[in-house]
Amino acid sequence: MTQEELAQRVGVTRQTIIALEARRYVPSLVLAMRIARVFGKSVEEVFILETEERA
Amino acid sequence: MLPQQKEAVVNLCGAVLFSALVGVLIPLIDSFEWEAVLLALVGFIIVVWAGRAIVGLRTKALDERDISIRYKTGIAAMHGFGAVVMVGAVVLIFLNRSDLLVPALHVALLAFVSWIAMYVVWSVTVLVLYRKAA
Repeated sequence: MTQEELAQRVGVTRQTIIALEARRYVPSLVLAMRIARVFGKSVEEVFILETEERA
Repeated sequence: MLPQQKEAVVNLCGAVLFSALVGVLIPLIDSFEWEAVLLALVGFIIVVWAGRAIVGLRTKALDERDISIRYKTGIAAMHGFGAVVMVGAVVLIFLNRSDLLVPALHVALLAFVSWIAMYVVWSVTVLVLYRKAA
């Protein structure tokens, strides 16, 4: 799946997908759930909370 | 380049154009200086309004990252506007404290500069945030 296809399916721009991949943008819960649904996975499987690493 | 980035570039171009216009042409006009400054301000507002239409920006079409950037840059722009108004007002009051009367040209310039500053801060912040973060 291309970035453009994913962007269209979750209702954002390709630039937002690029920013997500580059860890420059933290998505809203709704967007995170939409992306997870597209891949047929849970949010925790797609996104990783990095709080422990930063601390 | 996204519509919001294009809007920022148009705003910056308009700010540079009308600032140069005021800086270069207004001193050449003797009789109606403050009116000319206000006309330049109106011209800039028209450019901003028209620029938004030309680049095809529809706020309803923005996604959540665009909206997030718009909110953040709006806050930065209001801070820039407020800072320029406050500093400008204090400077004008001190410059004219002996007369107790601020000339119309100075008031018009304060309005022009503060408005331009608001859009410059907004535009620069938009361009920076799209490059660096959200």
